[in-house]
Amino acid sequence: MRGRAASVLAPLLVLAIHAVVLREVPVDLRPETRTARSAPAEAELRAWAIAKRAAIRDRKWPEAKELALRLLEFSPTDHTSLGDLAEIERELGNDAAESEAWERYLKVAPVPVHACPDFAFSYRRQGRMKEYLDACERCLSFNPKNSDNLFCVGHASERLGLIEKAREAYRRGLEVAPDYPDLALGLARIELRAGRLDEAARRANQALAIRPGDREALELLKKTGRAPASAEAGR
Amino acid sequence: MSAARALLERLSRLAIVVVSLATSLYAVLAHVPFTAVHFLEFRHFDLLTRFVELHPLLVALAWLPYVATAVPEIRAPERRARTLARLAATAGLSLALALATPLSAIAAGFPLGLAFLWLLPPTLVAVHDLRGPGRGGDPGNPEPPAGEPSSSIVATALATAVVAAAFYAGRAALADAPPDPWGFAATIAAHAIVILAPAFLAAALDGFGAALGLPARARLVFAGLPLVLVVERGVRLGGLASISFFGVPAATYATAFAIVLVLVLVGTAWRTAADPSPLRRLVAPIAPATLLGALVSLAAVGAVAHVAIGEIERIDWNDLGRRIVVALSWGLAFAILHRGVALASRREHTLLHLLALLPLGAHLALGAWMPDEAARTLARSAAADPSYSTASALLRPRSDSSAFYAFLKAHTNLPRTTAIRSPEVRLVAELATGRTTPAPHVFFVVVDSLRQDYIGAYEPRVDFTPAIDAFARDAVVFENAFTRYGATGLAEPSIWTGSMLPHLQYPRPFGPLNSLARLLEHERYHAYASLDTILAVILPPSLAVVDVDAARPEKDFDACGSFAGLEDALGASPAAPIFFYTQPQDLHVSVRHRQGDAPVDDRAYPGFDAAYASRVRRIDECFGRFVEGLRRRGILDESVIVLTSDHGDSLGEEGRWGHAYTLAPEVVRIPMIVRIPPRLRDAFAWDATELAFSTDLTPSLHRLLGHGPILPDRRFGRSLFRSREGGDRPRLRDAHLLASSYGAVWGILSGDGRELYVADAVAFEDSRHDLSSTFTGERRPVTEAEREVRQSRIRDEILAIERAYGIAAGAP
Repeated sequence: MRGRAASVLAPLLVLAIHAVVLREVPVDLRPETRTARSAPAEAELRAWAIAKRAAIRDRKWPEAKELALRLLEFSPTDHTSLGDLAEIERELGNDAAESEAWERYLKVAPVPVHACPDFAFSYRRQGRMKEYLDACERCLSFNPKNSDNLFCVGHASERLGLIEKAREAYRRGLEVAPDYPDLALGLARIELRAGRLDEAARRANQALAIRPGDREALELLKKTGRAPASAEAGR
Repeated sequence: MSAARALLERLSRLAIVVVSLATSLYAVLAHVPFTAVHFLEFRHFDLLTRFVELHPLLVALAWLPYVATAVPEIRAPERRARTLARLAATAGLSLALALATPLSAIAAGFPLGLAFLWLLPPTLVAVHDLRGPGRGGDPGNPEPPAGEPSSSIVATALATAVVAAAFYAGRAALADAPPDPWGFAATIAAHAIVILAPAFLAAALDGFGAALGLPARARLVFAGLPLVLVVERGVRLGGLASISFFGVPAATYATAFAIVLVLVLVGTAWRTAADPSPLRRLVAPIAPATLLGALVSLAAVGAVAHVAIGEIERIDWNDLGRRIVVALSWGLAFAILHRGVALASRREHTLLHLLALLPLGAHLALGAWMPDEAARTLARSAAADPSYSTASALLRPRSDSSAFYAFLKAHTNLPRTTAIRSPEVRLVAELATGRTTPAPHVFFVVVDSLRQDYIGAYEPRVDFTPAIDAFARDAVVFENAFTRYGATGLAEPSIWTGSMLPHLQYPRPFGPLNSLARLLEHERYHAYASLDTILAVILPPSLAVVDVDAARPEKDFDACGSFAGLEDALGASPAAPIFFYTQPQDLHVSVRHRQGDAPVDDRAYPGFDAAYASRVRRIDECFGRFVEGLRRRGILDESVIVLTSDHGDSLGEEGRWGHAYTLAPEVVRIPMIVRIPPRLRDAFAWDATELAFSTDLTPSLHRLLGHGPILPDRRFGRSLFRSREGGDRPRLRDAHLLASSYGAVWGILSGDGRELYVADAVAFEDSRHDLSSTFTGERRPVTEAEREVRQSRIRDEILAIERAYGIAAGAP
């Protein structure tokens, strides 16, 4: 009789243990759900975001980077964290990583223009001039009348020897923002290179009028053999 | 009873149950709206067509051995009347059903009723068998049979788990995806837990029966009960759910199906086997009696499973076929092993039950400590191991979304009787009149199952589509294009309507929904098409269409043939404007399989599926000639040419093949290349990087022909070409509904096409895919907050579409 009872009870007991354990301790070995199981609660994510902001404010870049990466692990399309990560990488001197972060940012950000012109400059700092120009042009496509973007295109084109393209960008930039000295200086360099000394001097003087004493403008003027238009500007 | 007679009787029952249940399942296909249309009405499957044609003959042949075994009883005068009555109620009923309700007309009647009716004959056979004298016991002698120790059942289950896990892991290793030691441990543990569950139940019931002193017949029925539960779950969740047959009717049918199947097995075992142990007796009809026989049988089961899985994996309906093979192989292995284990273990070993807790412990430990890299390796291995993927799916925790999944099921594949009160799809307020310039010719080349990443214009590694790439250089390549529907059933109609559709195949008449057909009639196009079965339903009779593939069955529609057919139909000087639509089947998974899954040329396609890529190359050559033909006719620059697909296809990603009812990233992404006449290019602006849907093509054609703007309606696509004169609205919503054509699987595409969320009410799970990094995307965890938001969005979108079509709330 005892043997018969064991034949009924033992399998039922083990079956019940299986049912209870599998219900109470669910196991899923798939990689993505293993991450999900350890995924932080919403409140924890919020806490990380606040801590990241504080770290950036206090310029604690390594700490901020770790928090940004942790947030991105769970929300890879979080454009705020991507923008922060780009800024952090810049502060840490990781220009290539900054570019990479900006590229990811551009894919997911609702207003990608916010990456400009920093993301273009990250390529410039690496000496990747083609990418620099491409980035400037992408920025310009977001906001075609932005003088910073026009300067960016002009400067990158100038560095790549695309003189006419650079001239056009500087010129359009000055139409939008006549008091932007770097645009005037850019045009001055191009005119000087083309041998149009009067025009180069005029643009250098335009820059000096906006930013008196500018060393590059004075240097350009010197190369044209012309004097500053006013002593005040040339001080 | 002699062994030969026992064998004949077993085979006769097998024949009866196979034909009767197959007929019953056929009736279920006729009952479910989408299978009734796509599987039966469109006759896409040769096997089903042959089954219908030969059905009365098959039924007669199936019953012949059964009738033959009854001849001695007929000869005996005292049993003649009863035997003849039994044969009339079984074989006679089957033949009468087969002749009175031919399968070719089954959909017109009450197919679900017939599905149940066809379960009756095998039930009567089983009941008769069970009422008769058992081979091993006299019904007059109620002496309870000797039981067997329940530990032997447990030991058999453990042995089965190890054999199955090792066999299928070995198979995965052959496919270059072996599990590592962690993964192999997980595989054995998962198999053991899943196979042990019904074994424990069988052991407990057997012990219970023995404790009650039940006679042999009742003990045998007891032994079959766990099998009823297993078969019912498999049929309902694995089979019926995958064809959108849900609810009380499906549950009732699955239960009846399982009972009949097991009853026949129990009856056959009672009549033809003589083992004193009920479980051994139950498996006796399929278990060899000798060790050599057992080894040969095990090897045979493995070989058949290996070949069967290889044969069906590329055309499988999601995982259904593979899972059936896996379940059968588990059952057969258990049956074969049980005989040997039970004979070797005649004493009860209670400790063995505790040993059976080890797999559970291992399962928990692996969940806690398995390294992530090992989990990734296991995931790769699982893609090549249908047995582990089946076992792990059974163990996987389900999200608490049952109410939402029930909602999806209720709103998928709506009944054909659903009333659609507002069936008209009018993309523009009024079609314009008074055109001053000639309408462009329009050519829609919708290559069924064409993937974006097999075209050079999208994927730089592709070097086998030079003609399409050349065409693309002078066209707009929409980089971020998606279909709205997985699979052709609703994808093709939605291209014609330019809108999301009621999930119903199909509203009839379909004409009011067909805005492209209306546009063609308005513009007086001369229409040519490869008239496939769906077009035959959705085109209004008023639209005169020249069928360029009239001489060929749909499954033989190939791009080269259709282009040639068009060339012939056009002749030397066709009337203008021309409209052409073709949906070549070269790449369809069933066509590739029918052609042996082999490449159609000798080229190497490293990094690509050669069978698929070689067909893309063939399409490319013919497409190149087609475009060149338009150039020669001088109409290329007066033509709108669209090259796209109705959906993509899985080519082995995570073990998936084909498209079935899934919404996998590689299924929802499509190529979309549109060339418009140079004279229109100045009048329109476009952004090739923006999100584009298959439902945008017809709205775009409206705009290119000067109609519109497209009305704001969440069902409608939008024009991908915006008039420089203004009037076109940008796409405002950032979350777009996608749906499977055939299953209760719905999705939300968001983040400008960078994120795909899928709610799968067939597999009972949600998934999230990050599409920003790779073509096939990367799975991401689903948080509870996101689940709530996305499910709510899917629900709102489905209800909004139904409201827009005037489908009453709660209609389904």
